[in-house]
Amino acid sequence: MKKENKQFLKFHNKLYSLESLKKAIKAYEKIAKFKLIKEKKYAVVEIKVLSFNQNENIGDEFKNYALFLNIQSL
Amino acid sequence: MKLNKIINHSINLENNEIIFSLNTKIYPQEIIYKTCYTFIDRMYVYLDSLKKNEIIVSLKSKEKLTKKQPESLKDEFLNELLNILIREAVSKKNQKFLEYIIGGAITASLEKPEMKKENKKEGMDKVEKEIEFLKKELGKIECSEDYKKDPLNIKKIFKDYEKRK
Repeated sequence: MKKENKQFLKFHNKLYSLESLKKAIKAYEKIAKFKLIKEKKYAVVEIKVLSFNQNENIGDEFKNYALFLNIQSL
Repeated sequence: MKLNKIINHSINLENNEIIFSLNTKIYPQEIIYKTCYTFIDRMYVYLDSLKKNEIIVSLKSKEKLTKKQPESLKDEFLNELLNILIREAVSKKNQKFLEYIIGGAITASLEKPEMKKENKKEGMDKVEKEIEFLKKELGKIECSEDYKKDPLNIKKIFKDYEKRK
């Protein structure tokens, strides 16, 4: 049975650039649905995962990849 | 005083996670990033900031941790942080010195371009023409009669001075 899994990840504007978040979303867009919401201090990424046997750590993996891209762009 | 008391942390064993904060006045943001980069392949790293000059680091292991392991992860992170901080400081200090050495090595390795005979001759002709031109210009200045005019009566002052002597 399909179970919809929704996650909200907050990324501080000073620590994560929007560009790196967009790149990370593009890389993960085949695995899940993403929505990027810009707030005053944070960028919020909404992730919807359709989990049959999907990796439950997609949020953590996404955070890691966003940080990796951010560091790479420095 | 133990370092643990200076840098507070909270451990979430269920999530295999340890969270602690760092002062960016002591550890600049760039250094924290570089340290995160060395840990990113082994664990999930997440950064946040609630106050000015403070970065919250969350280290989450990809494997199940025992009770003491999260703290050792933090200690490892702090060690690496210090290591990178010192390395950066040393490389900054020696940057000019390295630039001189590398610049010297590159210059020494370059071969000096030799001029072809024709180019050499052309070059010499150009220089000679320029010298001729400058000589003529100099002649014009010397020949002008303007200097003979003495609007400030310097000649007279000079003669008076000579007489007084």
